Amino acid sequence: MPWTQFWKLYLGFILVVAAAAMTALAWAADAEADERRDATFAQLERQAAQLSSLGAKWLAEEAAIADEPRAWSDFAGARLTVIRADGRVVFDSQRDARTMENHASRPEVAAALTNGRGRALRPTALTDHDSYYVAQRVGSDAAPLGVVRLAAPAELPNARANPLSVGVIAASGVAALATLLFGWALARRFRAPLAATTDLAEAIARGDYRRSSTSYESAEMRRLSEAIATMTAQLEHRLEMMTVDRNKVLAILSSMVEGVVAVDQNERIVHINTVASKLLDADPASAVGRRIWEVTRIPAIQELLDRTRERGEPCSAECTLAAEPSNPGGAVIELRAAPLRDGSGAVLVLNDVTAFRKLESIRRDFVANVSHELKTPLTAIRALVETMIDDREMPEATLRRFLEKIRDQSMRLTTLVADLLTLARIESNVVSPERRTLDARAIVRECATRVGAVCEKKQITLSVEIPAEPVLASADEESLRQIVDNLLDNACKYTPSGGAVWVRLERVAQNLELTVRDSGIGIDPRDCERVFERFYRVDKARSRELGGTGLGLSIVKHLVQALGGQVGLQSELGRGSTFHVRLPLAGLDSPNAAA
Amino acid sequence: MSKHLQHDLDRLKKEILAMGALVEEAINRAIASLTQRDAVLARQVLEGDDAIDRKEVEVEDLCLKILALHQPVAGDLRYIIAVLKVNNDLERMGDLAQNIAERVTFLAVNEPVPVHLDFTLMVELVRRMVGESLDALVNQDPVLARRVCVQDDEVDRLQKQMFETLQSVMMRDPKAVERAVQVLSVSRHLERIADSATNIAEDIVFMVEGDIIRHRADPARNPPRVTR
Repeated sequence: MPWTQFWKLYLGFILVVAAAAMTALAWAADAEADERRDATFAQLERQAAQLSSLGAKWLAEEAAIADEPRAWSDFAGARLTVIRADGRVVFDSQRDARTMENHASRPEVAAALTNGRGRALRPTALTDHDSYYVAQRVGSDAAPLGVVRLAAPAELPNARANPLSVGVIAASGVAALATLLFGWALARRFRAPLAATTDLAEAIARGDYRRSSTSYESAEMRRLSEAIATMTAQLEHRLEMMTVDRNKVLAILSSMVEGVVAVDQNERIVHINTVASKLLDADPASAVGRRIWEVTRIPAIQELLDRTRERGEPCSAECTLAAEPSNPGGAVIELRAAPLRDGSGAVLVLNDVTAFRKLESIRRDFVANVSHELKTPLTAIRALVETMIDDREMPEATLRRFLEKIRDQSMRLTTLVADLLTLARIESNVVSPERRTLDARAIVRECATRVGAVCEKKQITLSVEIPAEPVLASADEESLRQIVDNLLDNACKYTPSGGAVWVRLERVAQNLELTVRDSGIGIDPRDCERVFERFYRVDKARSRELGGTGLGLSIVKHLVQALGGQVGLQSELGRGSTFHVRLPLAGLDSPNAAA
Repeated sequence: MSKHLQHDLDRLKKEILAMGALVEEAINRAIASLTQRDAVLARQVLEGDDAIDRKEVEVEDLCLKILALHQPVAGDLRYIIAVLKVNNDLERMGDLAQNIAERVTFLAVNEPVPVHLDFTLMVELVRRMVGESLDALVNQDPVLARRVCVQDDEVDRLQKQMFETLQSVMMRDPKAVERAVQVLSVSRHLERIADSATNIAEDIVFMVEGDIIRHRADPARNPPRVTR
């Protein structure tokens, strides 16, 4: 058993009991010794008083009276000494009086000579054994004749020590033992609830709040156990609140659109949410606790954190992540870092602004493109007109050619503006296409005929595949015509002489499918998505040369979408491109048609 | 180990990783500028070279300081020696990225070579090797490092293919020679970056295991080097 409070207390108790017992014994011993001494002295004094009358005779007769005093001595059972007033020993029952020294200085003798009676408890001159001495003066106070002394040895070698009877010792031992046993039982009684309460507290410390405390009889223990019960309840409540709060914060952090990384002052990651771990390509479980520069190698992040720590204020930066198959340009991440308020680290917020930047660049490009596209014909027109003004004697033929050019350029401007307006109209959804059921075959045929002339001139084989039965689409005629026209125009434009263009119209399930395939220059797969953007041209110089506005495919895409269809593109550089348009068929109550 | 040494080694690790990060970024940007024919991005790579050079000197200074001040032994000594070598390799990789970017500034403003060149595979492989060699450095992972070494073979093969394709282009079309030469040197630089990544991986194996695996006969582990 360890050195517990209980044992400490109980040892103290043992010591106190022992001390009490010892004191009691010592007191008892002292009292007993006193009593015995007094009794012995009293007896000796009585005998000495009786002998003092005989003493005068013995002193006068001196040595001759040896037999009488010896008899008395035997009778009294004590040593008898007769001493003259000057201290000379006249008779001693045990020793030869003649060899004995002067006894005047013996304390009992001296006291008797002056006071008439004296007593002493002291060792004898010969042995160490204590003896009781009682002396009685013989003769009057004024003229003492001498002293009669009786001596009796004490029972113990040292009578001044405290001889004790076995009974007293046994009694006190029994009492002490009884007290100790009682104390043990009492202490146990106190200890049991204390131990139980300690167990309870330990259980609480381990996180087990379900243990109930027992109720106790004693008021103190009851208070303690009640206090612990209250504390447990509060602790549990607070812990629950903290857990709820923590989960709430974690839930908020993990469902944020932005990535969040928190680092401590040693740049070790304290928290990283799902988005951040995805952006930084890190495993959230193993990233926590590691240095951020071990987890991610983006120089901008390190630089930003250093800057934030130095300045102690929020800073921001932007970085481009390495390109991935899903994101060929690389994701653009906006980084914002703020120092934690207690100066123990920083929190880093990552925001994927790729789409935003892309939109920005599209808008910027659009404005630049529109201006450029408008400016080119205008510049040409202006130059031509200025030449005509300056050159008054311009030949008729030249003048005519100039005017034709001006007409061409203004037509181009008109087309451009018309295209822009169409786009704007479709995009803003101001006018939805007026739908009616029409036969797509007629429109495709019509467009193919128109394009056929161009193809013939360019020596391109145009094959048209149209089913025998009608293909009824729910669309407005103008939109559908524009779609087919633009796709065919495009195919012809980008197909060199000697190439081929295929147009196929068919019914697939509940859709109308139009496929325009060419054997032209093709489009890089990376550009496939962008060709539908306004003014996006794979090769700017070539497109303009061919008279494109850069809006054709964009218009197709928007129109198809407005009609509830889809447009797709497969292409390979140098091999040609295939555009698919899928529109819902008429007469079917598809949700798209109803829109 | 003394606390000061540990502190300095920690700092060294951070610096060499920062160096790695800069170089990796430069390589990724150079590659992006190549695949997107983006001269602006290429110029950004060229501007970044100063930072890489400064970082190289910083790392080397720190290594020398630790060597002189703490006189480390055994694992720590190997670590510092490996860092010195990795540092060197990284700097060379940075320079190669610059070279690629320089070629791109020319290539981006000119017509593409009249043949379909697919850098995708090579570029992806080189990028992965660089990334994995740095991951191996971060995690002191010899297994990953050995995997990097093995990939070098494939890059060599792709570089050879590229060489053959461009050779035939040059023979067919003399006008394309200038551009083809530039593209060729780009592919050569890529291959050399892969070599440097392999060197780093070998240094990491040395750092962790104390075993020099360079110039071993095992072809899977140590492919023959053509360019050196």
